[in-house]
Amino acid sequence: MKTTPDERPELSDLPDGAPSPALELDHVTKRFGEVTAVDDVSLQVARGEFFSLLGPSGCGKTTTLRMLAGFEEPTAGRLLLDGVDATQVPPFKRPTNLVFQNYALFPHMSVYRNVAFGPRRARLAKPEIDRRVREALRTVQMDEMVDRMPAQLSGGQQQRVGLARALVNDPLVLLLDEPLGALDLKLRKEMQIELKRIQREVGISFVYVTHDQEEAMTMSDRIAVMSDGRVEQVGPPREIYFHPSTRFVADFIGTANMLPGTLERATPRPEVRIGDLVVAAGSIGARSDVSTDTGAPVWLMLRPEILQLHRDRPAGDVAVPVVVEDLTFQGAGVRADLRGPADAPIVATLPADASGWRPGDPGFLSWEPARGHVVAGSA
Amino acid sequence: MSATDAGAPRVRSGTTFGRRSAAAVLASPVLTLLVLFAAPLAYLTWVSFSEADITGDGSFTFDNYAEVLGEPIYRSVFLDTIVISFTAMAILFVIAFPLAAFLAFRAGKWEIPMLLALVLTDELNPLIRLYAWQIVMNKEGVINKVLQGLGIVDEPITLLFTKTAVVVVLATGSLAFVVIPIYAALKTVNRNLIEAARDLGASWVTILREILLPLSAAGFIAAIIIVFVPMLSDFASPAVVGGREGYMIASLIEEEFNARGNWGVGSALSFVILAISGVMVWVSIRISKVGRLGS
Amino acid sequence: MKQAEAVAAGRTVRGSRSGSRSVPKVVWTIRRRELVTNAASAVLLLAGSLILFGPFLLLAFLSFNDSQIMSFRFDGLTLRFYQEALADEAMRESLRNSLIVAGLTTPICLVLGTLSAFGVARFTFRGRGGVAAALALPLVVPSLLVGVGALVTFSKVDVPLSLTTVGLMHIVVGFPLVMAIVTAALYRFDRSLEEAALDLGATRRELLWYVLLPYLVPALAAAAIFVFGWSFNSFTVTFFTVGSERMFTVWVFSRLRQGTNLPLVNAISTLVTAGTVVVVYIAYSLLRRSAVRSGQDVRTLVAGGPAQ
Repeated sequence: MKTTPDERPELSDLPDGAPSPALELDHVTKRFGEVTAVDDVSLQVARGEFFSLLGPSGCGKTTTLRMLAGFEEPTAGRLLLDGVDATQVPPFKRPTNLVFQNYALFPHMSVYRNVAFGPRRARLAKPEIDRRVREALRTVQMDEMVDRMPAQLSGGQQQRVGLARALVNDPLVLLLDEPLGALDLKLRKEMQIELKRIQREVGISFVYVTHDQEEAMTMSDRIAVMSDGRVEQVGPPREIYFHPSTRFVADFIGTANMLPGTLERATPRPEVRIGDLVVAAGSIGARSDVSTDTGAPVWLMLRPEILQLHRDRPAGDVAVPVVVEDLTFQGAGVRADLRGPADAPIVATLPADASGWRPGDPGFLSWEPARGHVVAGSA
Repeated sequence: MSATDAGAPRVRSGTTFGRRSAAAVLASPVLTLLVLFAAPLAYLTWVSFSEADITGDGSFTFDNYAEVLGEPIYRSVFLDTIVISFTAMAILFVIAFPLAAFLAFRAGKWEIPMLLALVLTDELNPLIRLYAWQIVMNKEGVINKVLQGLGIVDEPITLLFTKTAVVVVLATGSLAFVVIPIYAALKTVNRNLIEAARDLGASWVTILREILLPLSAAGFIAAIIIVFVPMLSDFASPAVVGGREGYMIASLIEEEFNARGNWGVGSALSFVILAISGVMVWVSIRISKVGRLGS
Repeated sequence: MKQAEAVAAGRTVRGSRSGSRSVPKVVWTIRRRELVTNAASAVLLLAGSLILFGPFLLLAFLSFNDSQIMSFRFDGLTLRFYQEALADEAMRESLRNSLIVAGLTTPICLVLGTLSAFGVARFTFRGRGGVAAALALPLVVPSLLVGVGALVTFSKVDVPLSLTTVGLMHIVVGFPLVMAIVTAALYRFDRSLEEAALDLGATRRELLWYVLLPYLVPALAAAAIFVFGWSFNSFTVTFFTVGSERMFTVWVFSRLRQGTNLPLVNAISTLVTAGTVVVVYIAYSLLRRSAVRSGQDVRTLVAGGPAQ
């Protein structure tokens, strides 16, 4: 059970005593004329960590990444790489490398020459360059294609070469800009596993930008969820999923039923008043600037998979009367769209073999109180 | 931490540089332009206002322009030139637009060969072409032989040394230059746009009018600049196939300079055709803008 | 079943909530359209080629025709006109001069044109638009003015007309042509390749040398072909600045004006035309290979010349 009302979600929660972060953003803001793309963002990325920037388009994640790469300069704030202020350092001098969404392979160079580009610019000795290039290509499993030209490769293959081209320079941090966006679903899933494996193997910090929350959850050690230029929450996937601290995060990650109410009490365990009911929950999440006093507006977040649907009123504290509206078979389960009290729409996940339910049937919802989560805040 | 970037604190992926380095790069081209292009034009302007002859000196006068703009002989040559070039341009546009559209959308495997054929006509020597057409069009030439053979005419028609001859030669010579800019403009049109329009029930006429014509406006302007303006400089075509009837303003200018040594009048005439060219370009830009707004 | 029958019969199906439009009777099947299009292409190509190239073929025919007058009756095959043409000193000199001037001015135009393109496309400074427009002027201003202006100016500063004066004028009109083609190529360039190069540690100079210039090679090749062709075929500007020297196009013109010994002109014209066709074809093959190698569309490059 975790109550963290004082947590400042803008700062990461690296454990104390950890070695200095590979990368740090310190109150970074980026304005383009009237528009503020990135608003006072502070983040830390640990060494060897797979860190994702997750959010819808326009949330500022790509701009943040480009500032890390050196293609945009912050309007305010500092950027530190390995503890050193790198805010003014041009991209060709930074120990970062970027993997592009459209691969950006040099079309007139072979796979080998593409990957060797970085080491050549660094003026390494020929045998050393050769060794590194072949090793990088082996890591991404493209060592058979050394002499091919980019035009002869498929999308997935080009992406691997792009990855090798970046990794071969042994960067402090690898930046990835929605690299799997152009691939089809199956290939994307395969590449996600590949990328994770490679990251573990080389041990480099990855900063990964995506709008696909499933992707971020699958691959990341920690995720920073962004919206409108601000960081909503930073934490490991489980934390983000089970204990979101803002409504946006709760809605953005997976499906969530958000029932509005007021906070009855926060400790020893949170309780929410919804209409006449007072419902207990397992945890409460809130941003530092949001009230968690008694009477504060909150939501009760119920993930569809914790809900159980009964024909008759079940024993226990919690039993919400609902009416079934729609049932959709989804393979692993059945999605039930229900209508609860005050006409509130509720989504529940029933087991795949749940049968006998039809649209229009009345029923009761129950769940284990400890699995409910309270999110502080109002609209 | 690099001194070289002191002048450009915004690292914009290396695409833009600042003023000082621009001067270094543009120095030689601009110098060449000034010495070999601007200076001669400036001096030519001066000559047009002087009584200069082949010796190059003379006093300031408006007489040249007065004569050029006033004397009826010059006016009639100007008129003839405009008639000939407008006719040629009209024919070209009528042919070029459907051809360019065809090339851009429907040609399939013929697209590159046809494109190459067009480019080839452009690379062939213009004087050789003129000579060839002279042979084709004379009294014993191919056209006459064919017409007589088919029984369309009884006697050979006079094709050579007429205005028509010049029009034919101008039109066939400039086809590539008109088709290709329009083709290039049409090629930028997304195929999906047209398919969407077809799906919504638009007829080809509508598509032509609403989508293709406005988009090729830029191509039309380019065509005017590339094709019409040179027609005003062309004295080879009139000389080889035009004769006295197909006499154009450029022939007159050449005559003033070489045969009569009358540099003052010649240069005044040159600036008149420059003015005409400018007006044509301006008009075509206006028309295309209106066209785009109207659609 | 009833619904499908009704639809197939072309009648609207009353009362169906989706789609009340019926299927019209099909006349222009896709297959028929394709046939017509193919036939139309063939006809167009044939007719067009006849009009555009027919006269040249006629010249070729006449050049081999063993007849002193230019008649269409075939009197026998002969090469004597070719022998006469190649023996003609004036002709040889004019051809040689034109090739030399074109050959020397092309590289200079490439350099000046590329510098201009970069200066205009990759630098920001006040007055950039004006400079760009000024550099494009030689292409827009009537060539008569350029030629005549050069004539009077060279005369004024006592520079005698020669191949050099011709070359200089070819340069000043040729390099804007190169600039136009190269500028277009620069605008088409994928910026993410630049960012990738910088990201991988290339300085701006290395970016230029290893990424940008290799990309420009096809465009530069196309520009070279167009400028060389333009210079060789140039008439108006050359006419006024050539003085007593001989250049090929002007030589043909004066021959036509004199009207003497024309069969000789037939022969050399056919030779030059044939040579042009061969050169254009070779140039196209090389261009296509170079374009494919750097992932560009050859049609854009080919159209880029005249389209500027």
